[in-house]
Amino acid sequence: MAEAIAANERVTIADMSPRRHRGLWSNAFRRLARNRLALISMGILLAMIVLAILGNYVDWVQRYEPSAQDYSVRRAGPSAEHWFGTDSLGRDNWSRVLQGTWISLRVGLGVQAVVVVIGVLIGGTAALGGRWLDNLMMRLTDLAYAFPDLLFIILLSATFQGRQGMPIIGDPLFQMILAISFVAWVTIARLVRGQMLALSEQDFVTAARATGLPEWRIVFQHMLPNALGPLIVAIVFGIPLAIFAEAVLGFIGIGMPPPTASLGVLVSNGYDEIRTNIWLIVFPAGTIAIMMLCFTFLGDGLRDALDPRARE
Amino acid sequence: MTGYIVRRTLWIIPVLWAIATLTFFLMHAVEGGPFASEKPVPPRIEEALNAKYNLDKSLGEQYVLYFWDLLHLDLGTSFNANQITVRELLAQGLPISIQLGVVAFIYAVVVGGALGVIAALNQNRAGDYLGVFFATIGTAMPNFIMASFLVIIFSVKLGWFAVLGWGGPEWALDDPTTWARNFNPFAWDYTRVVLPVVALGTLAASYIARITRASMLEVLQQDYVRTARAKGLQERHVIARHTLKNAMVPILTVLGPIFVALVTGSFIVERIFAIPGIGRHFVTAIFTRDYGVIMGVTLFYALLVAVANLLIDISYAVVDPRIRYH
Repeated sequence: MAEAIAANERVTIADMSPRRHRGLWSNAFRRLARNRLALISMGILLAMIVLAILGNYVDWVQRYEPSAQDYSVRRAGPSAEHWFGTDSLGRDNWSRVLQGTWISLRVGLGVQAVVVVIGVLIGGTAALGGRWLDNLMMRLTDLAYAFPDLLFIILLSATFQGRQGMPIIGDPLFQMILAISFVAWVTIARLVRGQMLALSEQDFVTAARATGLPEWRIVFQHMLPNALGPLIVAIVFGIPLAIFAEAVLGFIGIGMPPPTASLGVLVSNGYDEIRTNIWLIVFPAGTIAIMMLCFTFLGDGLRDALDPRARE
Repeated sequence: MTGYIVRRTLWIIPVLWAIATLTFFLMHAVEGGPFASEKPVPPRIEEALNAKYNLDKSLGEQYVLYFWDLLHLDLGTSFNANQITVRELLAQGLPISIQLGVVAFIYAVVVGGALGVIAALNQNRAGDYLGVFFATIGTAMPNFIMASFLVIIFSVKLGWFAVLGWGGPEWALDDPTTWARNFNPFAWDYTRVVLPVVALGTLAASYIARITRASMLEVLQQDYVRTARAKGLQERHVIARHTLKNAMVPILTVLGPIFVALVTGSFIVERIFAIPGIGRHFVTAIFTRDYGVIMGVTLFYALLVAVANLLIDISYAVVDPRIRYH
């Protein structure tokens, strides 16, 4: 009998020891660390971010001014002087690709920042604000869903353009972020609403309510942290979509104003010279492809790590 | 069920109205007008043009006039020199966009489905890795990037395909005698079909491949498949009759959204390969402030999306009786 109790105690103590008690996050981290593809992608992305920042702010990485023209080396292939070659105006492709990469990354992350705020607010209001608000908000997302996405992003960007003098929306980068966010928030809003509705039925939320916690503390302390996993996954998957949208805008000519080179603009310029100098298109197109691949792999890894139930 | 269909169909009307209204005011908020080009027209002519197209009226009046015409199914005229109506413009581009969309859809279903099945039957072997590799590349590669690489390799380097244009046979929606041409395989110029179709359809194909693989893997673990094998059925019968058939259901449910995405997403590919479909007009129209065309194309796409979503939801209800609508 005493032995049994002792054994029991040992089990309880072992249960309470930190090694046995792994939380969701450390568990998720271990699962992510086992996923080689996701780790490599994360490494490549970090390297690209560092390179992009250095390439925009440190001269010896940038090597040339992105908009500086040198007519003696027009349409050159890769060389020791110009690593990625030069375009038809003799501008250095390396520094332009770095400039474009930094723009793409800022758009990708910026859109997610805007979208999370809008999505959590609207999705949360829909889930917790009662039936009437829920109906209204969901009709709103239905409506946004019915818009042909890219057409609308293009139209919005065109509307924002030419308003350079205005405060806040005068910045072309921010214009682009706003235009893309306008259609991208729907996914997050739907996700947050679904999560919140499911969570508000859970026992621990009922328990929190029973203890008399104010509603906002239940939402922020108990529900939001539990919805965080799927939210992070959705955010990471949203980044390549935003990068893609930005590249499309640049490609069709409604992107950043020249001479600023976004990757889409570079691909578009390179496409015009595809017969004479393929290097002009290979590097920016490859950069976009690598970025999108890595974010997708990272998203896959995070989904497996954070949201094991959602695995296909 | 009937009530649900009626309500959903009627719901399309306010959705279209909201989209049209938002588009209307947004495009008028774009700086500049249709006649403010680099070579400005003389002021008197511009005045006359503005008066002709009601552009001299207030925005509110223009809005009412546009919707009055829209109620009579009149989409207005393009401001381009050709002076054709927006209806004609859509009617010219639509047959080509339909060809592109349908062929890309067939490509996506055949290639995606086949790769998914092969991957599932060879789980964790070479065939699987091939399928997963294709699916990943297809998902992560934007269509215009893929188009660029395809053109570099197959048009510029190898010279197999044309860089520009569309090779489908000419046909008209309002002339049923021309429809048969689409089914004549010799009427197609494949050097102008393959690259646009691959560029447009690969994303969809890789999506279908993923879903097919996942669905097949799940069905292969079911007890009835084990039963079928245990009773000595040949493997190909097990696959064809028991596995494939049951694995189809989740695949069928994504085909609708995929078709919509292919038809509405074609405008980038149309622009890259200079294919005269309707999507290409939209981008041009924004640059030239061709208000009628912007409205026409947006409304057409929105209607397409709305109707397709409606059909998809109804088909869910038909296929899966557990789904109840109220």
